[in-house]
This record gives sequence, C-alpha cells and structure tokens, in this order.
Amino acid sequence: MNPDAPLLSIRDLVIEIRGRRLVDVAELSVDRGQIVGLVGESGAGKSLLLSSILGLLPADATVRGSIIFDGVELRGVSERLLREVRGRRIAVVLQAARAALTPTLRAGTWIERALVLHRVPAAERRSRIAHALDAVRLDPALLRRYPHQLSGGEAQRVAIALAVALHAELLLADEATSALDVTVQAEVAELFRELRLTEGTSILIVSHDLALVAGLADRIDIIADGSIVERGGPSVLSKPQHRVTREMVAANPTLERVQGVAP
Amino acid sequence: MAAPGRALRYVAVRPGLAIGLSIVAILAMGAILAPLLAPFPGDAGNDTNLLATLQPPGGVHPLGTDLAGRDVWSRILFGVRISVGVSVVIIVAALAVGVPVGLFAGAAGGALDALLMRIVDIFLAFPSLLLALAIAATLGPSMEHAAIAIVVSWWPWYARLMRGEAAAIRGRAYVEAARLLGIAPWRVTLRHILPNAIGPVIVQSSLDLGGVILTFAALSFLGLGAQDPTPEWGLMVEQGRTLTSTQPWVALFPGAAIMVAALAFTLLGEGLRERLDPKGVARP
Repeated sequence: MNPDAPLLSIRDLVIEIRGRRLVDVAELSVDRGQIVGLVGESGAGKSLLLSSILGLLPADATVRGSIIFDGVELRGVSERLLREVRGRRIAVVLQAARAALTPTLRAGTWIERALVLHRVPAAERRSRIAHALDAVRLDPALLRRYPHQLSGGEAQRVAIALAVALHAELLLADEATSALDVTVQAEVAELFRELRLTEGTSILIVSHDLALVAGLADRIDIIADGSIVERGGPSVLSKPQHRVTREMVAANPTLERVQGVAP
Repeated sequence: MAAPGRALRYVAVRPGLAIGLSIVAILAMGAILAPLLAPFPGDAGNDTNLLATLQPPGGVHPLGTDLAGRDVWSRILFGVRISVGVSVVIIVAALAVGVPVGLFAGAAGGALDALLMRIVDIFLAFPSLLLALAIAATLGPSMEHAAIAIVVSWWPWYARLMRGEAAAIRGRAYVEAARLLGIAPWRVTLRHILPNAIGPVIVQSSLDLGGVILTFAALSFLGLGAQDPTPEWGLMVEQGRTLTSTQPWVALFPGAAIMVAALAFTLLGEGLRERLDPKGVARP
C-alpha cells in the first residue's frame, strides 16, 4: 500500500433515500495522521455520510460511488469483511456518550468484549487496556462502573479508550463533543489532538461546532445539502466564501457575547 | 449483581413484596416437603378411607376430609406441586415461545416483524380463557392438555410485550454503537437488546402466574384439566361444590389456597416491577 495515499478517500458518493438525493460528495479524503473537520448544519447529510463509510445505512437507502479505506474499496464488500473493519480499524465516537454504552454492561466488560470480538489475544488485552486508559487519562477504577454511574465526559473517554485499545487507524467523531459541557468539550478536543500525536490516529470530526473544529482540524470541509461547498485550512472561517459558511460563522456566538448573556 | 445487603433492604421497605416472597417461599417448602409434612401422603394418590368421609376439621384431619375420606390438608400440600408447579412450567413454556418470537420480530423489524405480529394478533383476538377452554375441550380432558391449552393462549402476550420493548431498544444509541463496533446482528440482539428489554416481560410473567394458577384451576374445575384423584386445587373445589352449605371445608380450603397463591405471585410481581420495569410503576 502506498503510504502517501490517503487513508480514507471518498469519490462521487451519492446517497438517495426514497428518490431524494441526500448526499452528493465529489471528493472527500483523510490523509494518515490528519484531522479533518466536516462541518455543516443539522440535516446537511453528515451523519448519513458517516454511516455509509461503515456500510450501515438504512435499508431503503441506495448508494453509488467509491469509498476507499487503506487502498481497499469498502463499497460492495461482504458484511463479514465490513464487520472486521468496524470498530477495529475505523472507530466511531457518538454524540450520546453515556447512551452509547450498553446499560447492562460495566464499562470494563464492554471494552473487554470488544477486544475479544476483534480477536485481540488474551495476553495482550490487559496491557492494551492499561495503555488506552493512560492515553485518555481515565481512572481504571471507573471500568467497574455501569454507564449510569459515569459522567458524560467519562463515558466519552471510555468510548475513545476502546478505539485506542483496538488500535483504530481512523476515528470518526460524530458530534462527539456536542452533548458535553464546555470544559469537558475542551478536554475531549485536547484528547483528539494527543491521539493524533501519540497513536498516529487519523480523525474525521463531524460537527456543527465551527469553533471546536477550527481549533482542531488541519483542513475543514463545509457540507450543505449533501455536498461539500467550501474547503480549506482553518482560515476558511475567517474569509468565508459560501453563503452557508458565512451564515454559520455569523451564527456562532463569540465568547464575549456568550459571557454578556450569561448571568 | 446487587449485594445481598442491598437486596434485603429493597425487600424490607416493600411490605407487599416481603409478604409475597414469604408466601412463595412457604409454598416452595410445602411442595418440596409435602411427603414429610402431610399426615396422610397416600390420600394425595389412590387411597380412600370410606370409614372417615366428610370429617369436619380437627383431630387427625386439621382441615377435615372429603367425600372419599381423604385428608384435605394432605391433598392441599401435594396440590402445591400440581397447581403452582404446573403453572410455573406453563409460564416458562409460554416465555420460551413468546420471548424469542417477540425479540426477533422487534429486533429485525420490517416484513418478518409484520408477519409474526399478525400471527400474534390472530391469537390475541380471542379472550385467552375462552381460547384455552376451546383448545382444552378439543384435545380432551387431561392435565397435560389443559397446560398445553394455556401455553397456546398465553405466549402471544409475551411475544407482543417483548416485541414492543425490543423495537424500542433497537433505536437506542448503544445498539447503534454495538453495530458500529462490528458486532454481528444476532449477537447485538442477544447481548445488547435482550438484557435491556427483558425486565418488563419478567415482571409481567410473575404477575401472570397468579392468573395462570386461576386459569389452570378453572379448567380443572370445569372438568377439562386434572382428573381425580390428582390433588389439583380447582378440581378439589369442584368436588366440594355441592357440599358448600353442609361441609364447606371440602371446597373452602382448596379455594383459599388458590387465592393465597395467586395473591402471592401478584405481590411478588408488583414488588419486582419497580426494580425491573421502572416506567410501569405508578408514583403516588
């Protein structure tokens, strides 16, 4: 495999549900070790795009185009092969942090089971989990807890720790910080930055939060009505060209304004 | 799971649950120890004593004797094995059919779901006692046939309840997260949906046990279930039916046993509901 080729490369991807074209992306790629932000308003097709990467679209959706991950076309691949990719090579961190953990399983059991599923040898599991907990700065004692006994930030760290323990090469963060309060958001964002440095993880951050993405991403793609309408470094936000980008920048309250409103 | 101390405290603040559990424990002891506790174990079988028919309660017959001179207390004790024991087997069998059907319908959705639920609807269109009666009457009077009849009329309720819970859980974030982790659909269904959806079904089955005890007794009372000399409580009530004004103990005590057993399981189910099905609890 060519190490210079993008880790993830999407081309001419069209997703239609009941005749409505919801996603139409000509080109989207994530290089190795890169953090890419995909920013758009709700309903712009961000989540659908993510689901399509892992082949988990609703049954009534039709897909055309190409999704190449590490040199391999994922479209049309067997369900069994896709399951090998899911979690182990491409991990997803969802918005609903606590709700994304199965309530009847302890956090530690949840991680352990996923490692067993992806055939991580028993001898390696303990050290991988220890390393992952260290990487996300999570107290090992929390692994004995059930999801309802964790805070949102802790639950999100558990999910990210699993991605680290599975040595996921690509992390898809689907509004992963949106449900957290501001200080925890900053901690999770910092965690993403560190993961890229220490683990070499590539990250695709999907969010409507411009400020967060601007502080993290090497490149930002703005998506509107299913298509990428603007693209560039974090500077796209200072000189927005497209109408949607301008609107989002304008709608994003500056820190001063937030402080002015809060009592 | 929960520490024994926590479980004890949970029971201690719920007198209904405590009473229900105590009665169920006593019933279980009675069923297990019946041969030791019953003064006339043979009276639960083919023995008769025509020299001591219709003796009033007291003396060697604490609850009197019936028309065949059999000790009512001994028969009630052995009857726990029949009336409660068979009812438990019936519920377990109904769950064994209803839970998988409902789980896979709810977890799969789509055409399979629609097909299975329409079949369930057909069963639910008939009142369950009436359906059980019709099936038992068709199969012919015997305890096994009565039990089969109740299972057939009861499983669709669990299928529908389970289907609703599973369908609700299917849309939860943790089910999506499990699929995104590469977990196979059947494993997601069994490990992530089932444990989180089964609670209300367990509660309902415990509440239903009282109803099944009543239905099973009713079928025997009507002559479609257990046959003499089986010490089934409903059958015993039927045998004392014509004697209620002169020798009331023959029907009264088995009748009371049915009531107490049904009540115990209802109390047990209500007590468990708060733990297993919090949304079903009416708050004061």
